[in-house]
Order: sequence, then structure tokens, then C-alpha cells
Amino acid sequence: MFAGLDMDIARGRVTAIMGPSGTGKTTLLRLITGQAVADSGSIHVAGTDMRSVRRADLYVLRQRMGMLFQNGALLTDLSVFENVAFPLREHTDLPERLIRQLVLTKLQAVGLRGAAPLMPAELSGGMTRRVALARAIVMDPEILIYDEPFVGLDPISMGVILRLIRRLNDALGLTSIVVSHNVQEISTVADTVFLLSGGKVVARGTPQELQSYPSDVVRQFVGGLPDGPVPFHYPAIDYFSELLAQGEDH
Amino acid sequence: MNPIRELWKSLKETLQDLGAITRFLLRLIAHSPRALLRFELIVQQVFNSGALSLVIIMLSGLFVGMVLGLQGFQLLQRFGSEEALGTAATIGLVKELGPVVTALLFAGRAGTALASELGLMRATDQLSAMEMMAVDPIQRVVVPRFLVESSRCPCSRRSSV
Repeated sequence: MFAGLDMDIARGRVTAIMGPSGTGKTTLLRLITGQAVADSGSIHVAGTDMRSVRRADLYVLRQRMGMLFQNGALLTDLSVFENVAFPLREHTDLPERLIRQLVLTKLQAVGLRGAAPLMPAELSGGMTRRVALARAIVMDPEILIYDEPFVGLDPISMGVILRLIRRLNDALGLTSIVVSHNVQEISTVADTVFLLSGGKVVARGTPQELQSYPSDVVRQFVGGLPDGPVPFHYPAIDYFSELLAQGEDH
Repeated sequence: MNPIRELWKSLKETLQDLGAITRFLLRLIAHSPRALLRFELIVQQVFNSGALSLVIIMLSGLFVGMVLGLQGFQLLQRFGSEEALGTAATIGLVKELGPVVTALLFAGRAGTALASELGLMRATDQLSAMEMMAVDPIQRVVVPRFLVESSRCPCSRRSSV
């Protein structure tokens, strides 16, 4: 899927990974988080080689990471409060009073303290993602990863998530990695953007630099053009030849 | 298409699947002692799959018993042996039909509930989310269910009787 992919993600910054559908953005996240193992090459996260890391060490490393999934991935049989408390209950022996305070603090940070007793089925898409964000930061991670955080959100919810990405990154001193298609929106919060296409990085720089990047792929992606280096038509034999051949086949 | 090559490929895939299933089972068994320490998870599963299945198993046992009683009475009456009905129905139900009824209902009710629950968790990334929270889904989700389902069948059989 990738060939000659070379990326450095800066500590303490918001880095966006963008690219056309099917270019391997989510796969790259899975490689970074150790959910998948690369056949070749090397991936280092916080000094750990993800290709040779042992399972136990990987779990220790993941306690320093948080991840916001595309659909939130809240545990459906637990309330909002219990979802956010879940990592604390699994990894710490903190007293209940302290867990309650930590959970309420994180829910307050995403503006959903009042939704603590609700069940995930009672939340809207935007609220689900904010709860998932509270859960992702409850262990005070160093790295926060967002997989398509804006999919299916209305403009208000999208604005809330965008503001939270920037605010949490700056307030908590995180390193944020955001995978997204939304060029305009992500440009408002990202410090650095990597644009992937054909299994490699075709452009890197600030969102402003990307707007005037001298590359057809970048121009097509940023401008949302339907045809270009990423073709509108899936590769096929000549249209008229196939139409004529179809009659003979049948 | 070479039939021998296809056969070999199919055989190899079957062996790989069997190997994966065996490894998964061994992993479940290896995790089981530690899962017993999380007693609240076991209790929750006993309720979910055990207590919630009791009604349908008991109801089925009742109807099977009634059918045995009715049909058995008509048959035994011809020979003047109605008094043997209780013994016959009890032995038939306890020794023969009870385990079958329980096993079928177990596969039908608890098995499908379990499969759909885990499938939903997988489809909605809940298991991946657990992994990202450094929580092993096998240890947290699968092993308690495995332990409870393995021990539940004999218990439920008693209930059906």
C-alpha cells in the first residue's frame, strides 16, 4: 500500500494527514498505533519501534496514546460517565471520589458534564464524538489521534470538534494527528499537513503552503476537482469497444 | 483450473482455520485464571446469558414434559400401567430430552446473542477502542463469556428438568 513513505510528526503540534479515499490514511493510523504491523520499513512512536514491539510494551505505550474513532466507538452498554471512567477503572486503583472528579473534569472540558448519566444511544453524532474525546484524554495521553473526526457532523458540531482539537492540544501539550478529508476545516487547526497519494507523501507543509503547492494532485485535492491525476473513471477498456463487445457476448 | 491445486489450497485454508481456532482456544484457556479475579464480569455474564435464558429453557422443558405425559398416558393406559407414567416421563425428560433441549436452546438463544453482541462490538470499533485504551478485549470481553457459557450448559440442563 505504501512505497517510500517518509513522515516526521512533530511533538506538540497538530499534524493533519489528508488524501483521497483509499490512499491508506486509516491504515497508516493503524500502523502508528500498532493495530497493524508493516511488512517492511520502520515506524517509531515515542522512541518505540512499532514493528518489533512486544505486546506488553505496546499496551504500556498505548496508555500514553488516545484515539478518537470515526464513530466514537463508545461502549454501548455503559453510560457516558462509565465510558469516560473506563480507562481509569481498568488501569488505576484510584478511589471512586477521585475517578468521579477526573471524569467530570474531562466531560466539562468537552461541554458534556450534564450528559454524564445518558447512555450512548441517547447522544447525537457530535455528542458521541465529544464523549469519546473526553474518554481519549482521561488518562492524560501524550499523543492524541483522530480518525476522520468530522464525518457526518453538522457545521456546529464540526466547529466544536475543531475548537476542541486545537484547545486540547495547546492546553494539555499534546501531539495531535488528525486524519481528515475536510481541507478547509482542517486548515484552520493544523500546523502541518501531509498529503498522501499513491502510497507516498506528495505534499507537506503548512495549510497555507498547500494552497499554492506546485502539484496537480494537490491542486485537484485542495480544489475538489472531479478529474485529474486521481481519475474520475476507474481504469477500464475503451467504452465503445466494450459496448460493442457486450452485444456479441450476450 | 487444476483440481489438485484447488484441493490442496482448500485443505491448506482449512488447516489454517483450524490452527487459528486452536490458538484462539488456547489463548482463552491461558487467560481464564486471571479472568476469575474479575468476579463482577463473571456475575454480569451469568445474569446475561444464564438467568435471561432460564425462562425459555424452563418453558420448553414444561411443554416437552406435558407432551410426554399426555402421549405416554394414552399408551400406558392400554396396558393398565398408568402408574409408570411418572417414572417414564421423568427418565425420558431428565436423561434423554433435557440435555438435547437445553443444548439446542443454548445454541439458539445464548449463542446467537453472544455472536451478535461481539459482532456489533467489532463493527462499531468497540473492540479496537478497547485495544487502544490498552485493554485486551480477549481478557475483558471474550474470556468471561467463554467461562460462563462453558459452565452454564450443565446448570441450565438442571433448570430445564
